[in-house]
Amino acid sequence: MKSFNYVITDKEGIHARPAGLVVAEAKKFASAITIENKGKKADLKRIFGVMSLCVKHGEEIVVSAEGADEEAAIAAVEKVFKENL
Amino acid sequence: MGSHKGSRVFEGYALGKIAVYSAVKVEKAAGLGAEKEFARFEKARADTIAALDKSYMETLSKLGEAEAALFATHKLMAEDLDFEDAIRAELENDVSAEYAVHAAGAQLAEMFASMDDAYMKERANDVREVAARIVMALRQEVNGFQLKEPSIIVCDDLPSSELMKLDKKMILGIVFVKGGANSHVSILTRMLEIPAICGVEGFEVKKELDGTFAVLDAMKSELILSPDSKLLSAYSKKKAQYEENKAKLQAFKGKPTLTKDGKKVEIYNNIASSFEVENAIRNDAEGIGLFRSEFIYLEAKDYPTEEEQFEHYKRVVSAMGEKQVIIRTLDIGADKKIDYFDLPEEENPALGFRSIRICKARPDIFLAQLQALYRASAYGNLAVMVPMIISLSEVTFIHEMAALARENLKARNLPFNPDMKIGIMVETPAAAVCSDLFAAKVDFFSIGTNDLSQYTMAIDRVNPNLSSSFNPHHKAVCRLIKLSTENAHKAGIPIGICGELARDEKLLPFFLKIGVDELSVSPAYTLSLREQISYIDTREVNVEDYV
Repeated sequence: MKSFNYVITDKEGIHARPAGLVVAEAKKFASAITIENKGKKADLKRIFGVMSLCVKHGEEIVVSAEGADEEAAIAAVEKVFKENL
Repeated sequence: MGSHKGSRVFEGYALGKIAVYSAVKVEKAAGLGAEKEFARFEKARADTIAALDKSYMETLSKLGEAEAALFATHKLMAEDLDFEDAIRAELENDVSAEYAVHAAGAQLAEMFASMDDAYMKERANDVREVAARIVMALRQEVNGFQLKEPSIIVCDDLPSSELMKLDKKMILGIVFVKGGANSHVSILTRMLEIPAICGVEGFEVKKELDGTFAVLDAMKSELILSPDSKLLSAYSKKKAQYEENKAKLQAFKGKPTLTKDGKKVEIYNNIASSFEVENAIRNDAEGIGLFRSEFIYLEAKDYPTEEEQFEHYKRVVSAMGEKQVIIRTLDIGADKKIDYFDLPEEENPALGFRSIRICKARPDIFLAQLQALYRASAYGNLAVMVPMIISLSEVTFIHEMAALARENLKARNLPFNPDMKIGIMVETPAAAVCSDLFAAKVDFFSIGTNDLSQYTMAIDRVNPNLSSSFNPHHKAVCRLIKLSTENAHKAGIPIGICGELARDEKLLPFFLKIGVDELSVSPAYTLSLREQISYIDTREVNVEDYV
């Protein structure tokens, strides 16, 4: 399993548009990818799940991937977070 | 002939035939089995996504990214796996795909509606709208509602995507019988400048209305069915005149506000709610001179939280971009009473416990508002002004509270603009007479002419027996305005006028001559005021005539 921690710098938190971008990226990989915030977990391939975490500015999230392409998945998703959130 | 009254969404007139739009109704029905129904859903979803892509591109080119983003979000929702899972689960009960989509949409909408966040709560309507679109696609009504000739749309409410799909040249006007003035579709309607009304009580949208000739008077917010020929010709004239005048004023859009002799002044707008900001943008305001924050308090049942206030302030500030937005802090008391503030009955409310006086007695309320304002300052060009100032100790209090708000936000690691400008309203003779002292301590002045006139002349402005004696052109008022302007400029700070007088024909040359920097009026007067100013030559104005 691979994972990374990230603190959200976007002033709006994870709102609909960037949520869509990370979900779209996660969907490209076969690995199971999850996002965790304040003890709650969601599937990073599901926009409703990600939005329901209601992640705000300044909060830390943990993204984990497990599967054959976990390394590539984590690198790609982390890039999208850094560029958009 | 029958007339039905509602509230205005966007002004104008429309004369033409009615086209009835009815919302999608879904009833529980048996399907052809889970597999077959799921395949039907998948096909309908693909059609819906294609239609959403089209709406996105069209809105992007017509209204821009901010309004178009909604359709990108809708697309992601349509594709979501949780949504799909919920539909599969419904289909296990051998229902139709239509019903499964509708029920799954309702479930997810419920989840958003119960969230403790204003932004997320609003997403509930999006989910319902997406579900409704897929249901229409299932019924092969992707292009269901079409206008064959220019028409007045009559509906209970209309999904935004339906509006964007239609050929705008075919829409003469819209009647949202059950809609609200601040829904997303109403906002789009205003941006598209379509005459429209909403909230028509006691009116039933029946299919038989289709093709009925009607007049929509969105000035008086009235729908008149089957008008007689006399009324119709009167309205044709009104409409032509209104459109001619509107076209003339359009010439002043996007232009700076200049007097005949080239003196520059800025026209800002007064708004009473964050939803009104689009009116200011549409009318080409150069900023917001007065955003009355008390509407947030008046609409709430209990003290609005910092978070709730922040959402409203942010909406206005980010919508205006680089243009300045001046938000007035809490101005209640006197004629504006709020139950949960539990204010005492007063002999003399206009001279009583109000505005900054309440804030001083209850600093926690003021602090929450300042924190919300500072947070919004990170999103644009925000300035704050405090009403009803009479003494320098109040200014000291404001600065202390502002420093505390900044410290708190810093500790919470939230972004804000530490240099946010803080000004005061000059609306008491005390503030005007001592304006030299205040000018050294604050970033700007804004004159509230209604209160300044009432306090200067000692005349209650809402007392009908005194209305004939209430003369805002009184030399005492003009002298105080002149004095405040001179003192502001000596200290190098700007001064604006945000009361009713800002567009007073008689005083306008005086304001321009003494060099008032900004005039703030209701959005609807922006362009006509710009036109009026262009005819004034300040070299011909004699200040002595006014003071």
